[in-house]
Amino acid sequence: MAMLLRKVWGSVLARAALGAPGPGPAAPGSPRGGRRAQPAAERYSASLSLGALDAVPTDVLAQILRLLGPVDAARSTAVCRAWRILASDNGLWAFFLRLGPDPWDLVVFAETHLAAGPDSHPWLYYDNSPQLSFKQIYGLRAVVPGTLIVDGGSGYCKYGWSKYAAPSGRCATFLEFGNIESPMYARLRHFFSTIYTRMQVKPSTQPVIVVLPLNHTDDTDSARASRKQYKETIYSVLFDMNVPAVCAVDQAVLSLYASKRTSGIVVHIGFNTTSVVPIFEGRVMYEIGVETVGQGALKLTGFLKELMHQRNISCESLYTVRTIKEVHKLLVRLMVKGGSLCRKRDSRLLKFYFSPTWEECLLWACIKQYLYVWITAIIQKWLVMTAGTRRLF
Amino acid sequence: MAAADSCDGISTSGGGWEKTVTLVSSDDARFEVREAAASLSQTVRRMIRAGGDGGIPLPKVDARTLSTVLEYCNKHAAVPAPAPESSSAEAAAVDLEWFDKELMHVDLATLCSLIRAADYLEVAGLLDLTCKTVADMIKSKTAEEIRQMFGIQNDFTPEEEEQLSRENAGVFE
Repeated sequence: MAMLLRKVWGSVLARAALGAPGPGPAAPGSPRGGRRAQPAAERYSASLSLGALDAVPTDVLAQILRLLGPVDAARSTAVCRAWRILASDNGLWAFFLRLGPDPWDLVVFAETHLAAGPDSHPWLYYDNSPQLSFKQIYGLRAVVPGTLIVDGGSGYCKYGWSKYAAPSGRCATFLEFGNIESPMYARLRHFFSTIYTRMQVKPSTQPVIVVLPLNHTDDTDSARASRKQYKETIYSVLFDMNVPAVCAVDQAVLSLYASKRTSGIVVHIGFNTTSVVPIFEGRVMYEIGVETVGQGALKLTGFLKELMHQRNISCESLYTVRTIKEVHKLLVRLMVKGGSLCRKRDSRLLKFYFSPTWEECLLWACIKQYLYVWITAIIQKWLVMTAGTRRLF
Repeated sequence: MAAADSCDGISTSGGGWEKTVTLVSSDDARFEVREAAASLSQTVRRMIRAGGDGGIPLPKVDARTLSTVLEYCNKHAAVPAPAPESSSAEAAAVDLEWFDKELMHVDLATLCSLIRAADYLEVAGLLDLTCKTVADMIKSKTAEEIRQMFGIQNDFTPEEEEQLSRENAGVFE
């Protein structure tokens, strides 16, 4: 399934790269010779009729369908068989998907790598389920409702809508709800209902994605048990609130998805700790080992203060812990694969938090240098540690 | 238009500053057109470059359709390259839009032959215009209305129709 779908997308992308002006053939991957290829509709034209439009060339009809837009094109499939073949064309619906709100490369990533799921390893591939057409993909994407995302960090919690690029708000972590004695269930219940109130939605209308903190293998059994209990409690709280669907995802896996990969090594720098997490096909490879270092944003903040002091830079705006944390968060989610470092942050996000002056730019350069050395050291340690099992990547 | 200098066979009328070419329709009607207008058709432009005797034959277009196409070409070739944001350019654009709208007040058969001619002659602007006209005719119509408009037979079985309405239900309605 995954491989097939990937092939389909591949052929569509290749066609787009060629800049072919005509419509795609009805079956992607079928031979296509120049502008006047023979789409399926023409082969059947002996028995199928389009009435007055019979005389109109097929590629012109395809252009008309593109002008119709998705709703009218879908409705017109009910006209007759020939029209149905034309209006179900994968090239047409890939065109509509491209016009959609999501960036095309994200759509491709989601529909190939993510839709296939973690269980469809290439070597386990056998799947009898029918392949979705691009029209069906478009339809499914159109009806999927917005999802609420709750990202509980160690400092504070972020929440928002899946359709927006940034969280809509933040609040304290669930630990700060209720008093010391209140049970976890009551705190979480209070926590989630606060978020739902602030988002102004009914819990029963929206699926929710909960971002789980990292699970470390070097934990004690009791710590692991308490995390499991935490997860179970989240589920029971949310289902008691009539939430239709809950998806709990590991935060490192999500960071990896954000850079459009399903396998890789994530260096996740938290407030107090930094973790190096190997992920394969969307699963955290605990058997290989998750490395955790007791250095995080706090140490970074100290380092920055020292640097700024040395250079006589006064950057008051950066001195609140919160700002430092944001800056550092933007900086440090680095994606690592095959030993080389690729940075995936973009500078547009940075402006969201502060407009850089030359001093801040200098600071930025220092941070980058510091992080590079720091992360390289962590990676080297991790590579040595896992030398035996690393072949998987 | 330097290429036109090599076209011996194509009539270039009397010393004026504008060259003309002769186009011959499928029913042997001859049209003399300014080369600038005829060149809006990529097909004709290629044939001018290739050269030829006694006019350019266009065996797939009849005289009635060709005259409409040339009406479009003459109008659109006459418009000079728009000087941005001048009031005259704006007025010309409005005028052109009105002209296009008037040109599309034709019956379905004529529209279809115009599409075919525009596709064959590769007049991009006219092809866009005609496609848009057909698309506007189809927009927000039911399947039955579309069938009636174009004279299409409904060749679905009742089961297929039911399956189709299931496929589209909720998603595209």
